[in-house]
Amino acid sequence: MNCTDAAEYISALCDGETIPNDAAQHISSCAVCTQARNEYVALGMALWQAAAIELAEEPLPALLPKHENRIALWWRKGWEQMRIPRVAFAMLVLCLVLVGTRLAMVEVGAQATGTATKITVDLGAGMKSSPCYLQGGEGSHATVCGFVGKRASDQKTIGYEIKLNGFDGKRFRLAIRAEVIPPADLAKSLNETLKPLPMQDVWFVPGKKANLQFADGLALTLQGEWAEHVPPYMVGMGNPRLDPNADELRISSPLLLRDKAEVGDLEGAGTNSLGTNTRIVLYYPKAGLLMLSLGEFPGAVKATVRDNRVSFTVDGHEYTLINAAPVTRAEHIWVARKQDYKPSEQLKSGFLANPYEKDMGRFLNP
Amino acid sequence: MIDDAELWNKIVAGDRQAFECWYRQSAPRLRVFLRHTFAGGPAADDVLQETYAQAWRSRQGFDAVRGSLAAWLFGIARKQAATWRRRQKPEEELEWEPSIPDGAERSSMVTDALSRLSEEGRTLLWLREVEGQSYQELSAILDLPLTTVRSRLHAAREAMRKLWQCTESRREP
Repeated sequence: MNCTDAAEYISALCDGETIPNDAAQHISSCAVCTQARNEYVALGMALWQAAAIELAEEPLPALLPKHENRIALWWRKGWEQMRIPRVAFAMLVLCLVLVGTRLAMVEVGAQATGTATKITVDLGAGMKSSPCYLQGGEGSHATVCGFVGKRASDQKTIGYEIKLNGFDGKRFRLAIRAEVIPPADLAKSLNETLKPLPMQDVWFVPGKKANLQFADGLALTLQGEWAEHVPPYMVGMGNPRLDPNADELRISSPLLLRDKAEVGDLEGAGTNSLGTNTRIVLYYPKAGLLMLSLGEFPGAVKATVRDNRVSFTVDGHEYTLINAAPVTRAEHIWVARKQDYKPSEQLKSGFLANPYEKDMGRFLNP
Repeated sequence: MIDDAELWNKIVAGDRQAFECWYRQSAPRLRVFLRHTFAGGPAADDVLQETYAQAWRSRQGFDAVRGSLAAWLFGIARKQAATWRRRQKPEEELEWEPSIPDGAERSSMVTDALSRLSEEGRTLLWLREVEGQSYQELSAILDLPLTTVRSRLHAAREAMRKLWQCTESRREP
């Protein structure tokens, strides 16, 4: 592959299209091609800016009815035969046009307010990821999304990671990598699994779908909408309310106390499980691994739930798990502690996860 | 926010108010597109009005399976622009000038470079970069095969890059 052969693919790469591996390798290692790619991206940005300036400055003409020509004729007749001062009439018309224009501009502007976007990824076969919020602008902390889920149709586990690399007021520049996760990698962290993969660049516009292709024929569709802010602890699978669903167990930003002293804090982490046959797993380096479920499971003790707190006693110690939001509608859940759990190197600082029950054995014994 | 499908169902049912709502939402972008790819001034506004008149007449013909509402609208606009051009007498042919309001110098430089491309090049670049249309949508709007969309989009980008480089180099002392 040389620059001439790769040239057409540079453009396709900018558009998030799938390109051959050898072309991608050449472009990433060739200074000339990389320069061309950067210039294409800059051109796109410049065009966008030009459009944005005009959209902001141009008032919209009123939508004319079908009999436009007849109305134009009446207008001319009326103007010629006018009995009131023409300047006064013109001012009146101008005022009406300005009021109409203002209303139109407010309505159009309402489509693109905010600096955040709520993104959902269609994983194919009717499966969608839980929503994720990204926020542009300086000092934003909502810049990364990750998701792992299993498709019911073919039992394949799909994982993706999205990083927010820019925001120009209208579009979000995202870098995305995804794959069908091999069974052997299910015990690894998502970051560890996806790390060797290249990131795809895409400009994401809320309200528009972005179709992306990855290795092994994996096709994902990003869709989203504008959001004025990122809701705190967005942990509900499509349930943005504070009240959990009837069969939902939510863990959000959990702080663990043992005998009233703090032993670990997974601040900002959140997940949920649905039903009595699923477990949420938390690991604190100083407290070991905890498993939580709405249903009873071997080795578990009964824990008491009060709003955002889960209290239980294990191995002679009193534990309280304090969450950022209500945990469940139930009064009790089930908790077990696994003392001999040894996390992988990447996970040893602590984690919160919601693995499939089928994969739990492999997850607990990496 | 009402989504495309909900709004369009109302329009298909003959809801004129919903149609005007859609016009206010979509027309500003379409007009800027027409001004940069087809013609500036009143001609662009004429085609804009014709486009929405046609969209109203053929509202039953939109099929969401075949593409987005925006792609369908831009497709109509292209056809209306072509019809408008055919109707002009030779002496009325447009001296095409991009319509550029006051703005950043960089913006006028880039729109100036854009104006030097072929109409197809301008359309492809604008729809891809500004409107974010997919290759499939571009293929439908311009009646081009997908592979041709990719190659011509590349050609347009490359041509514009060279033009832009010339403009930038002229500015340097």
